[in-house]
Amino acid sequence: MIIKLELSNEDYIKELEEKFSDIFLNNSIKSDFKNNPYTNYLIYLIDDKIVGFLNYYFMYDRMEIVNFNVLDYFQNRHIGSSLLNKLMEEAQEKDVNNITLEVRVDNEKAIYLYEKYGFKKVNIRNNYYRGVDGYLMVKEFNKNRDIYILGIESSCDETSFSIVRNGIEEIATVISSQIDIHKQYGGVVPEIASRAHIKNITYVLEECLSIANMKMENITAIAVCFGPGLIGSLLVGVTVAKTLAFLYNKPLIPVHHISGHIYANNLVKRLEFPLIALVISGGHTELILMEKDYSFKKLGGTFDDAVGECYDKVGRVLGVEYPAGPIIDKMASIGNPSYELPIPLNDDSYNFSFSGLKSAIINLVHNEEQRGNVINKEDLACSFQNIVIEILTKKTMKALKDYNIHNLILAGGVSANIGIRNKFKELCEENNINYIFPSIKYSTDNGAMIAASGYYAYLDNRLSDLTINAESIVELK
Amino acid sequence: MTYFYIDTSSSYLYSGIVKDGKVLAEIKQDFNKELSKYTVSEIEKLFKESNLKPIDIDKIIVVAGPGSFTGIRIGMTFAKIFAWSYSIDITTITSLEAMQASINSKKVLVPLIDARRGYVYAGVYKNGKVLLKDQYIELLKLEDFLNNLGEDYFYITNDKKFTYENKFGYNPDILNITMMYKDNKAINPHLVEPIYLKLTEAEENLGSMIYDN
Repeated sequence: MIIKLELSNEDYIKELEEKFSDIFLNNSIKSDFKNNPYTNYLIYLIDDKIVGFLNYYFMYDRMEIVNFNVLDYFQNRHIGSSLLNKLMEEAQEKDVNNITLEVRVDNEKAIYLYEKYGFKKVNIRNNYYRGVDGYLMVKEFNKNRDIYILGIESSCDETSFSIVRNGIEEIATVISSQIDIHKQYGGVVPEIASRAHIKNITYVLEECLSIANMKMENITAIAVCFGPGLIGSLLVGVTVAKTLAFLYNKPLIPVHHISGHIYANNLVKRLEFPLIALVISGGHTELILMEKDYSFKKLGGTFDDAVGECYDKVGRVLGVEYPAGPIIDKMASIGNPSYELPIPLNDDSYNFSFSGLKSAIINLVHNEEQRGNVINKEDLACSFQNIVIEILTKKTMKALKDYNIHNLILAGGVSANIGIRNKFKELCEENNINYIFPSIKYSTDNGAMIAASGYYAYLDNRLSDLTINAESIVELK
Repeated sequence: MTYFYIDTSSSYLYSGIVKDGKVLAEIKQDFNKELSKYTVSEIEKLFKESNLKPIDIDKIIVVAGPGSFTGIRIGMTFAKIFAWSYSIDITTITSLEAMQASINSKKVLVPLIDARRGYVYAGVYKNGKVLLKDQYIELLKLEDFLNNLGEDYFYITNDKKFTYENKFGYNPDILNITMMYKDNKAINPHLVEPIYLKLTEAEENLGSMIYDN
């Protein structure tokens, strides 16, 4: 019988130390248990007496055999192989990558046994055993460790598919933007967006697989943005995901849109925790605290307009075409902050409000016009953007300080704003904060961010069956 | 030959698998607002029930509309991806064609779907032949057309709004629909699209024709 030794089995520990005293002379098993969280002992019992043992370390994704011995009298009775079998079982169960061990080069019997179990000599350790060399042997568990996630994003006016390897490496991304269609309406028209999505889906999916040189069969799992967003648009992507999951029998991972924006940064650099994420886009303005992967604590958000929405509305006042963000950003860079505007919700909370700022600008323009003054649009853009930057940086830097956090990420479409990026960069460098900004191409909606986020959801076993539904409004959890 | 049929142009899921002139499995269920939630999982059940795999299907017949815009896109997305994935032939029919194929009658048949504001989606059929093409039409105009036919006719509709005495309710005959339209020309899955028969309001207001359905 094989059992796993525990610190509480005092009698067995004592017996083991006595029977193999040459090994345990200077190493107490108790202190090994106390000092080494990775150590494990398998003991082989005959009539409740120890006849052999296997001591190994289990470290995350690998194992190492430290000591392995059977009493002389009980050799050649398959006790050694039974112990190795038990270890293999556990290695499979724990899904480890490999098991390593060292063995004296002259211990032919042991080497024979290890080779029988698929261990291979990979290196010689000179003088490992006081004058005798040792072999480093490895058993690799040949699995395809790479996880390929197909990410699907259709929550607004971009149809996008992407394939990402292991959550960090983008293999292929195709984005079909409808921006030119919606431009003529001054904003996204939901029904038109839905109609364009269904027109695009198979083209975009096919192109994505073709760039990656992959087939659906090679995909590990399918991640889809299920909300929040425009319900008709989301439904197309969600139905594609469910259909593919059904046809190819793949796991289905629902991904929250904001989580996608956050993990867009993971494609730039692996996220370090804890971190504060400032999510700024046409639909969101949120401060989120993350202690680890897939743990989201919302610190605050906007009470009314999202910051990107505010840019679009101010854009209309300035006569700038949709989407106004990039143009206002450019105008601001050449203007002077000559107009006085109120700082909205300038308090100690982590919340935002932008509708007052928008109204202030509308009033300002109206009053100036009444007085017959010409508005300097660049100056107004600059004054507006400065206020936005001031309130965003103030609350974000406060959150970092209050929670004593040294990692900041920006996420969402507005994070592409150069003025905002520059100010955050400056403040982070001043305050010793590590920062990641998403690459400009992934600051707007895309499948890569959904796939990257989906990878960590997959590791966290956040899977769904085929009845997952799109949701226009849903909290990040 | 094995056919897969799907229609999500209303709040109902109408779907079935037809093989060698027999319906192996079908579903006709009202899912109300939860059609998108259950469509794929219910289809998975159809395949289990019929002991077939998706790849066993020879041709997909999908109802492309008119009807609920959001509803149509659920079945259409499923059908498009299905056809594209396994290179299965796919063809579309209109919901009005499906309606008229479900009534066994030699009379003139008028499948009818309410499109609000005095308008309907309708077509006029006799023995499977088209007398008036499916269209978005003012109800009064349709009635004019029918009165000038000089023949008896029957509406097909489940909409209680229409109180005509000469009407049939609609309960899709999936076998009949499949048999009537199975030889429709196969379409490249990329090009399969819903039939809206109507522009969006934004497009109408703009007066531009982005979609020329």
